[in-house]
Amino acid sequence: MRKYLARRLILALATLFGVSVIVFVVMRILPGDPLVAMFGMEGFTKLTPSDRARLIADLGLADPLPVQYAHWIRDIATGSFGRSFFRGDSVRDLIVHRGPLSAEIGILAVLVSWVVGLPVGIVSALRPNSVSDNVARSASILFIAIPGFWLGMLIVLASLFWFGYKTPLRVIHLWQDPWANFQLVIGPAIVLGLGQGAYIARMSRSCLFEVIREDYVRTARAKGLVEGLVIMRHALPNALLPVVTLSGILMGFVLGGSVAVEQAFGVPGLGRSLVTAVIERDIVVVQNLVLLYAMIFVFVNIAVDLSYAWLDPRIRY
Amino acid sequence: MRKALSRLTLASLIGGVVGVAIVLGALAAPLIAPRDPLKTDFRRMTKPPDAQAYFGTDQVGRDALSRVIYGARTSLFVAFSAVLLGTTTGSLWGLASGYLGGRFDLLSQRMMEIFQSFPDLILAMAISLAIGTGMPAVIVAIAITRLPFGGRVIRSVALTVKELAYVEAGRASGASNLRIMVLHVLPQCVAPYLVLATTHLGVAIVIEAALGFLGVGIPPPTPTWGNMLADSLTSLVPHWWLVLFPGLAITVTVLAFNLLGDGIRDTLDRRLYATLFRSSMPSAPAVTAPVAAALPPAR
Amino acid sequence: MSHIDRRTFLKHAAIATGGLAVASELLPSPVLAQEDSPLRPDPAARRGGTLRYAVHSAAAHFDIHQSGTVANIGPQGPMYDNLIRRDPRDGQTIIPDLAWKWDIAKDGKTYTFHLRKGVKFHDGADFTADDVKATFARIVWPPKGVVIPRTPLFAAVSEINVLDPHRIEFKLKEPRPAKFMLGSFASGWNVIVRKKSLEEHGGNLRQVMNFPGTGPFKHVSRVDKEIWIQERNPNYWNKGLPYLDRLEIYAIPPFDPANGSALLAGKLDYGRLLDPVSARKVKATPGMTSTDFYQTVVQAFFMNNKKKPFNDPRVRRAFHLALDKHVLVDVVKDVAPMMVGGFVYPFSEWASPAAEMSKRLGYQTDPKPAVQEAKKLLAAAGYPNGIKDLDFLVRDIATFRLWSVAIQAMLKETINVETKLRVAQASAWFDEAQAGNFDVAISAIVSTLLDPSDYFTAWYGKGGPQNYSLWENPAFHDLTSQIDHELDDARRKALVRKAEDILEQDPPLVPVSWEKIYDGWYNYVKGVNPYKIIGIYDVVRWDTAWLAK
Repeated sequence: MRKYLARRLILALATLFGVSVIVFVVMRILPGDPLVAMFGMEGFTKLTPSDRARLIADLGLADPLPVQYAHWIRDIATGSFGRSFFRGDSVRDLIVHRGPLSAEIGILAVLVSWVVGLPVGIVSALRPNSVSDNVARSASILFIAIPGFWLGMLIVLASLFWFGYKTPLRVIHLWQDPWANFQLVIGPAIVLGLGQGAYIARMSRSCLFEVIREDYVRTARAKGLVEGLVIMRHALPNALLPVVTLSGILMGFVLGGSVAVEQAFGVPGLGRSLVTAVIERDIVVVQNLVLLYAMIFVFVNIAVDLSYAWLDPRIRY
Repeated sequence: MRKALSRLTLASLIGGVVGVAIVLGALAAPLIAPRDPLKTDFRRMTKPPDAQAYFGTDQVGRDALSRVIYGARTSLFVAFSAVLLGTTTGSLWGLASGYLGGRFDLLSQRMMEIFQSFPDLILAMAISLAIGTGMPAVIVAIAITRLPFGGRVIRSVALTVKELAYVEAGRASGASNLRIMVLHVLPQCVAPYLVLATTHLGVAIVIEAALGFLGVGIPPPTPTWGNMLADSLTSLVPHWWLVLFPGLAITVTVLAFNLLGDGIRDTLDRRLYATLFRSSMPSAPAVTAPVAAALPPAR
Repeated sequence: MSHIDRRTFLKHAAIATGGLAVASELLPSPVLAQEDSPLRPDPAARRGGTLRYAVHSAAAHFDIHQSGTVANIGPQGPMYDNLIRRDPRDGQTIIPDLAWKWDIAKDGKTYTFHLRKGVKFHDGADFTADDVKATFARIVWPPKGVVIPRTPLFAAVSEINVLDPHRIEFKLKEPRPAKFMLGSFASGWNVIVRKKSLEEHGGNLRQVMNFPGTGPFKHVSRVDKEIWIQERNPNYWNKGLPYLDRLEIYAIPPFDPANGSALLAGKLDYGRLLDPVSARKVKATPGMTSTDFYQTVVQAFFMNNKKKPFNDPRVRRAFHLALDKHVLVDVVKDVAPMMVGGFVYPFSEWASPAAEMSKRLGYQTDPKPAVQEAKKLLAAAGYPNGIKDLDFLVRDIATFRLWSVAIQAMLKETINVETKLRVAQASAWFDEAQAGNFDVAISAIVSTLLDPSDYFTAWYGKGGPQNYSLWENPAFHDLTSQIDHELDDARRKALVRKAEDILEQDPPLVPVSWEKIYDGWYNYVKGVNPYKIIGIYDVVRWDTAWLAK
């Protein structure tokens, strides 16, 4: 197990290295000048070529690419995520300020997906082809097709009409005002959770459906156990393993989808910062945030693999 | 079980029919759209749905129904192109990687894993930041996010086919690698490739719409469903018909293609497909068939 | 602040009977003892409290002087003072600020300012004439890489001399109308900063969030794109002001419905740059007030003079006449408040009367006669069948996106001109515009003053900083020069009319519309009087605001 963990981590590190290289290369081939950000368009045109060369050198952008890359990695390792071209704000402050909000949304979304998806899947599996099964499967297929950000827009529209929904003005953390914080995150969490939940429902239905037809389940029933116990104690734990894996994979799509959903609800999360940075062409912010998202995804995958290896006693590496 | 199968087939049939209808509608847009989607009418700005405009009009008086129909054109074109480009490139790469093996295979595998480490929308945004907006750029950006899926699945097929007897025979008789790949391995990849392509179509449509919604997709005034949703947000209270119809169009289209994809996948050998998917998961160990069957390509 | 105490009354009387007469313009500096400012604290005002308001989204940088957007002056303004300022009670009268007295030489070529003693910057340093010199020297003669939109206003300044730590003089190479010069000095943009701040940052404050000022509020904290928190400056030189303890300034884009909805929900006390729908709602809500006032901005459609066919004035006038300006204002009526106008600020004293304008071709409510004329002009210029394939550069803001579509349609339907839209973000738009990479373009441009000497140079002048069309007309530039030097008001107005005629026949741009601003607030916010303001850039300090709750 420990060997597996070590191997897995080394692999992840290699992946992260590759991720960082790609992010770095993509951002560096961008047209556009950091000096424009510093001096504005008009100011930039007033600089002489020698001025520009000197300023570029000061910014460290004249160094050969591998050196720039090394500096960037060193900065990240020491916890500094660079400063925005505009206004010079620290990206780390941005992450610390808005990150928790997006993280909350992600965690809540996973919770919602399990709370909604699992029972639906179980019911479907236990009563195949019944009315509830058909309803459940239709609903799943529907929610997989609905774009999350559109669902968010509809919810906001409805809330505007019926509850007088107000767009959030500021980031409010859980420890500052729990109720206000909850109001901020619940909308996006539900929308993202429902989308994931549809996949979870489908998956748990298939898995459980197959598992309860296994011999050992039949044995348990023959032994005289109550049906409920049979399901809970014997069938479910085995059926859930693949669902856990699925949940981990879905995490990646949540990370991506959350960006659009945050925009639909107007929640000031990290995803929105990324969108603004892309629109403003703030390369430093985009570079670091994209790397952050990729890092999170890689670690989630590791966690999923480990949990799978830990949960399934058949698997030992 | 048989009943379930037939019901599923019915659903996928409906999906297929609707999908084809949408595609045809998009192609025939100039014929079926009641008005020019770019034509403004200043006497009829932001009108709710009525006899003259079934979907209402937007802030400059353009007919929303026509814009949705033409939006189908853009969105479908982008999605089809991106999936075609991405899945094909990925598949060919995976084929070569699986068949040739060795260092090339190792390197390719790592690269695909790296690509899959990015959440897809974020990768698309970053790429479009680098190469600009405009249709070709958006297509390339989305295509790149589809690469690794094709790569890994087809790689597995290639790995399996590689070991088959007649392929060995071919190698023994001196046929070149290229010849073998094209003549023997490629045909086996067609079915999985089709499944991949149809299942990823819906995803590509949603990513394109999301990019448009965020303002980093295809620039206006080209009508795309995502742009239309973004434009609806300029009022204090967004007009419901400007929010409802483009989103509905996306949902119906994605639904249709998903059902179609499901059906295509189910008509193929389920077991073969399950084997393929086992190795397409990022790094998960042994996975059972139901997982593969219900596996979502992306969201 | 409606009290007039005996002292102030006597002072005004003293002036009226001929205190200090200067030049031919009637703008003498009020004779006051050094400590006084005409802004006396109102005894009825309640002290304390926090004012919450939203103004524009985050700016691209922090250097107020280099900026032309309220995204800077709005949140940063309360922390700084000016040499002289516009009275916040009417937005017009020029009153002392850091300079308590000023003299203008008889020949109009020397302006001397007497500075207050005992004023301190927020970091404790003393305010002296050196700081004023450093501030203005940068504005008049900006260092390399620094571009300040107000530089052309001071083109006549030849020297800035520190006479003693509290007296400074500006020498002009030739006289200018005093109204114009004083208006330039009083512009809200020209905040006074520390000489040391400029020296420490190489004359470029773009990335410096908190450079000290002398203003009524001090910086506390800022969260990017969210909020800027400022607190009362207990050592403010104008004793008794400000009344508020705190300012919370939120960052919401202009005309964004979120501003109105936050205001209506009680999360904000004051809303500036509201969208029209919210403004109407505020007006209809008891306990709240809303008003509109004019803004020193023109929404302009540019035509690149360096590219065919726009080198021909007939073509440009054809475009001018083909655009139905009343409809264009209507198109954005739910997004932003606009009004029709010509080439001169329609609400300034130099504008042609409204009755006359409504009869002029290109501004009539019935567009047909103008369109006829446009077709004739285009044919005469050699394009009877219209023009194809024009590159239309659009700035990425809701109003411009809507307008570009409308204009595209109008041009096609009236004079068969086809354009291709290309939307660009603000910085990219300026990039392309400066480089001349467009055929036609649309954006908004700002001037500091309503005075034609400002924008006839900045917008229409040869090589003017905002003359993106690269337009030239020798007769017009000649007239501008005369307008700059003419000291008699009536004669000046006549010259402006002549210049306007030239502009109508040979348009440098098409004035799509002129802007109004909607403000909305709760009635417990007192001490503000936006009714008469022109332009939001001069009234940003909040030193006279208080809360009646």
